Amino acid sequence: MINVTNLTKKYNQNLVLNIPALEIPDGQSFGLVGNNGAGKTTFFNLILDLIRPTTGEIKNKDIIVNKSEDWKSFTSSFIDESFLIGYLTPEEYFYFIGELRGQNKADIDKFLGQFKDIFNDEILGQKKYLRDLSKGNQKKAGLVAALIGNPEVVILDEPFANLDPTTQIKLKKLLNELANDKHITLLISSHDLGHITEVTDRIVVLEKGNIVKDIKTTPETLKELEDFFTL
Amino acid sequence: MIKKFIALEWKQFFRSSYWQKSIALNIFLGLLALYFITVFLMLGIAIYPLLKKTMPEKDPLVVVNSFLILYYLADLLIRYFFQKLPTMQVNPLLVLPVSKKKITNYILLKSVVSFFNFLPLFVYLPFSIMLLIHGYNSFSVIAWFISVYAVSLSINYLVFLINKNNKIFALAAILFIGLILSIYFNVFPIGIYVGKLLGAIVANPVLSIIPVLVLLGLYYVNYRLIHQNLYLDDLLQKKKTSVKTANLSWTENFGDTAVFLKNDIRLIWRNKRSKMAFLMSFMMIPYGLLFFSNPVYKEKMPIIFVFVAIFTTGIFILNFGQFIPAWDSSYYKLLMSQNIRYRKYLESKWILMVAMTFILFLLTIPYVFLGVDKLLLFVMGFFFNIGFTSLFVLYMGAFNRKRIDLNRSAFMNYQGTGVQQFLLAFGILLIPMLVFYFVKEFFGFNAAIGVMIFIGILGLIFKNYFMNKIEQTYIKNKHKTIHAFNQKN
Repeated sequence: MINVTNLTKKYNQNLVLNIPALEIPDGQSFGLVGNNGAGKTTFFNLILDLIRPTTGEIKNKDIIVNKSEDWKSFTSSFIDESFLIGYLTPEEYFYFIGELRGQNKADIDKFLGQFKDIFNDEILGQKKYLRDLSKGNQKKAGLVAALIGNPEVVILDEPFANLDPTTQIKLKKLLNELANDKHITLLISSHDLGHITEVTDRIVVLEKGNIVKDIKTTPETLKELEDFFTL
Repeated sequence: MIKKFIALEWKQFFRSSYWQKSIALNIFLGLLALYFITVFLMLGIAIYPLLKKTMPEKDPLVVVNSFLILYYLADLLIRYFFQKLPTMQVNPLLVLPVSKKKITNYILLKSVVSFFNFLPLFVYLPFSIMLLIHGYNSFSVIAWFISVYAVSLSINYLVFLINKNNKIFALAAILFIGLILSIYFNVFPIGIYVGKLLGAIVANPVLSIIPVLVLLGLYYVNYRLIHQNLYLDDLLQKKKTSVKTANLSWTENFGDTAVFLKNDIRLIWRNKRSKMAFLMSFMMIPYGLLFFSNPVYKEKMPIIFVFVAIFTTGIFILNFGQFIPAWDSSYYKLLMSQNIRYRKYLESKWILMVAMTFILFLLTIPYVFLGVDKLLLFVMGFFFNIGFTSLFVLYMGAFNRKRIDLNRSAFMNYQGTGVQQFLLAFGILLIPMLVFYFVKEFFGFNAAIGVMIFIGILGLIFKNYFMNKIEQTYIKNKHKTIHAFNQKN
């Protein structure tokens, strides 16, 4: 689904990302792990054509992302709070995203019904703007919005950060469902090694922009990662 | 401790990227301040001889005293809208061993260091000196000076209370309107009473203790209020706004741009700054009266009418349009990763600008009572603005690199304004004036109007062509714009 060749990103001669080759097959759930500054968000931003690569290219379903915009119709993402529109209520935000993804109001209402337990009555019908919600609730709204419109590629940067324990567990269940859905290629990053090993089939470790580990997730993976990050 | 606070303020001021980036803007604000200082200074010096000349039988001090109340009321109103309340980043200090007493006193004393408190000195001081020169008792003059300045500072603290407390706001609003009405209908000659009070102080300088006590009293009330409420969930809390939803289904008539149009309307209405840009547009409608009623302009500078016509109908394009796409800067990444076409996004902004220009044009129709030629000017302004200005502004937006934080307040907020914005406003107003001027010199007034309308219609006819060019420019600049909008101050 995602094909990376010779990808580098430099800021003032400073190499922040260098991926000679990487292939993420259809339907895989792919995890990205690394310390701060390892290049995780840079990689996601490159896939979404929010920044330009210095060299190389990324193909999303055979579409070169910085040449054509056709990948946008089947790719959705939530990177950070700058993906939220602060002056909208959560409902209005969902409808807005829905309209952009060809879903009408009824579709969205039906879609939102399945997230009732994640929302915990704190998102919908609150008469509050997104900017006035707590960080955790903002995150929930952004994550759910990223699932609108049956996307084939879902990119989530640090989905577990800022969430309360109950929601983390619910989110893990939800992401597992997505991971098992063979029509969805899921890309997530996380600092929580436990969560990410539970959700993904494959984990790639970035260090200073380079891929230093590429492992298929097994029950031993968590131990292996913990050893790797213990200095 | 105070020294440390001041050091913090100093760093906050000079290290803000805002300061480092927009020198041109700071020069502009500096000039504005200089202008006001000069005007006030001239007023302070000239008021005595002027009153002596126009009303030789009256004592200038008595006349000034009886009018002071009007100045104070105006001062109160201006401060309420424009004066920024002194805020310090107190959150990190609360848990440190700094007493709340010190923080409170510092906040309150800092509020005195405001342009609004220095400005009156430029009137009071020269006027007092004039009084001394003209042989008034020096104790009386000093007492008068202390009193009037104490009242000015009291207004400073009163505004503080009005801003923080809804009950006091309601009370102040009622009193304010009551006073204005009573002055207007002459029911209660408040000016005379204030004049008499100040007269008593001049006659008996010891009485100047009264306004000083009022000032101290207000300081104390403020002190109590802040000291008791210096908690995260109280005074320091961000204001939350209640949701106002409106049915915007009528926008569906605009087809596939409706989704953006709906959003833009919500953006304008739910954010202070954009709302102000919108409301200010309507306040400019009567602007033309100032020029049309003055025969000097009619004879010597009819070109100024072109300015009025373009400005009045195009003010929304100027105010709102020049910050496209910066209005959406805080969620620009979202828009750029969604399945949308730039064209639809730009189209919706264009429709919005045209619609508002049309509404503003409709509101200028009453000018027809001042002559058909006036209406023709506004017709010209309308066509020129929708055909030329709107597209020009959209094109320039592709080079907009300044983020706007929608949550910040509107007044005197120049965030997102760069040299480009000033040049743009300048160009938009100057180009049509020049074109009009030259055509009029050679072919007359009607021909000039015709040419301007023609330019506008030409723009409309070739709109698709221009929109394509504009869209391409936006796409070319996409990554630069995303990067720039990511830079927070």
